[in-house]
Order: sequence, then C-alpha cells, then structure tokens
Amino acid sequence: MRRFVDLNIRDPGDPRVLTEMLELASKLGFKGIAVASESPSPQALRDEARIFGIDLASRVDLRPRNTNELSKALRRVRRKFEIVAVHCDNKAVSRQAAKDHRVDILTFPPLKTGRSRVGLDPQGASLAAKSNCAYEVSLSDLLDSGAGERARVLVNLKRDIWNAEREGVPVLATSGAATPLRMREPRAIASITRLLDLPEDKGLDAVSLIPTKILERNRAKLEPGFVSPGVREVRGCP
Amino acid sequence: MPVRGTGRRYLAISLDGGDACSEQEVSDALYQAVRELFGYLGVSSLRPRLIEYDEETRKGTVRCSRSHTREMRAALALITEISNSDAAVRVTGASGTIKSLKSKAASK
Repeated sequence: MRRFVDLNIRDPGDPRVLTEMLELASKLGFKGIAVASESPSPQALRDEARIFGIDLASRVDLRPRNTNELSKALRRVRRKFEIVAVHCDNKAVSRQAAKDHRVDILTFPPLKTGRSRVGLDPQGASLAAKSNCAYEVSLSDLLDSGAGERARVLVNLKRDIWNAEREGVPVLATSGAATPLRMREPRAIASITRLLDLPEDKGLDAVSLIPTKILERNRAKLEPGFVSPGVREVRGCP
Repeated sequence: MPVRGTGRRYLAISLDGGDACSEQEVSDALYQAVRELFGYLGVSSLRPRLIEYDEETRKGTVRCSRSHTREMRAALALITEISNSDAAVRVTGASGTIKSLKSKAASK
C-alpha cells in the first residue's frame, strides 16, 4: 500500500481554510502534507493535522536573485524547515542550487513574460543527481496556464523530465494548491506525469516514495546528534 | 467468431465547488477537457462518456477506455471550471464494472 505525500500545499493565509485543506487532503488519501510558508508550522497545527491522520511538514520556497542571496537564505532556513525548495529563475541560481546539498527540491516555474525559461538542462541535472536534489512538477503550473500556454508548459516540463530521467534525478509531483478547489487526489497528480512520458510506477513514486524519502532524510538530519549521512553522535554510551 | 470488445473502465467522480451543474454541463466539460488536452484523436481513443450524474449529490460515473485510464484521470484533474464557475472534479473510485464500482462506493 502506497503512502501518498503532497510536498507542496501553499499556505492560504487563513487558518480555517488551511484546516479545511488538511481535512480534504485526508479524504483524498494523503498521509503527509508539506505546507509552504514563510515560518515553520506551529506545533498546534501539526497536532490538528494528526487528528485527520496527516503528517504535517514545513516547507520554505526560496526565490533568490543571485547565488549570494541563495547561500545566505540557505544558512538562515536550513535548520528551521524540513523541506527547502529553490525557485530557479536564472541559470546561475539553478546551477548553485543543484550543487548544494542543503537544497531538497528544484522548481522551475513557468515564466509569464516573454523571457526564455530556465529549465533543467543536462549539466544541471547531472549536478542535481550528485547532490540528491529532486525535480518538482507542480500541477498548479498546468492549472494556472491557459489552453495555449499549457502546450508550452508541457513541452518545457517534458524536456526537463527527459534530462532528469537520463541523469537519475528523482522526480517529484505536487499539487501546489493554495485553495481547496485546486487540490486533487494523489492518483490524479500522478496521472499528470503520463503527459510527461513517465511510466506509471515512476508517476506513482513521484507522489509517494520520493517525497517520503525526502521527508525521512531531512527529519533524520534535523535530529540532534546528526553529523553527516550515516554518521550520528550517540550519547550515553560507556 | 465472437470478438471481445475493447476494455472499459468506470470512474466514480465527485464535483466540488461552483454552482449546481446539470448533467449536460458536466458531460460537455468532460468532452472539452479531453479534447483540449488530447485533441479529437484523443477523444476517439479515450472514448469518454458520462454514464450518470446526480445533481443533488454531485456524484457521477464516467466511462473510458481501459488502456487510457491515466489519460482520463489527467484530463479530469485539469478541469478547473464548469459552465463559467470554478469547480474541481475528483475521482473517488475506479473499477471494471459499474456494479463493483457501486459496491465499492457503498462499502466506503
């Protein structure tokens, strides 16, 4: 039985709406949710989520303009949030984010202007694979784009996923929902990957196995005594 | 010689948000979603059809080709409005026959 996790629910700003979204997530079959917000999720909200059978995690989305800003922001947030995602708006930021072990998710939002979009190119994918960064496909990117724009978004996502698959970058599918109406069931989010030529099992992994692994890995890192992957300080031993 | 028909898959759907929609409006939205995403060729492959829809409970059943169930789910997921009001279509169950789909829904 798969354990479905949505690592990108945007904080609607209204606690009542957020509670409604947590309840809906539980009904839709999710077991875990990461709420993207400027501040970490308070314990009260985590307890409330647990009532619905949801494991709540906190996520922060960084939108740095240059590599300096990225480094500063990572130093500031890494120990506070379970998930750190970086919006890559230019190539320098995308390269630096792909190299950095502190980044969990790379996201390439579709550009509204006529500028050429930065995507996951083979070099970036190679760096991301080495640092274990995941590539995020957000359903909201498709829902927010008009009929004509959607074709362009799909072409870009397909190209990125092709590069990610070739280099072995984990692909993650999320809803990116900011309202209950934009939330979809896990298999619907997974089915979007069908449009991007991902096989069915990988599509399902993108909403279950991959996000669960990211969450577990980061929670282990945030535990006291963590030194580096595979090494932890054990106290109280003779 | 009898020829086995192409497999079908039945999806139980539920509508959320928006105003009350008629069966025809939901059916139109369904066709439009498949046509926008996959074109007329896609419509012929997916063979989407709204079998039934209850306007009160806002639940219904959609039939599609078994080999294109993922595509059908994707098209349903991308529906954001029905007859000019915001809406979401969510699949609550899937089965090979209407009978088992209903018994699954009853047991939930």
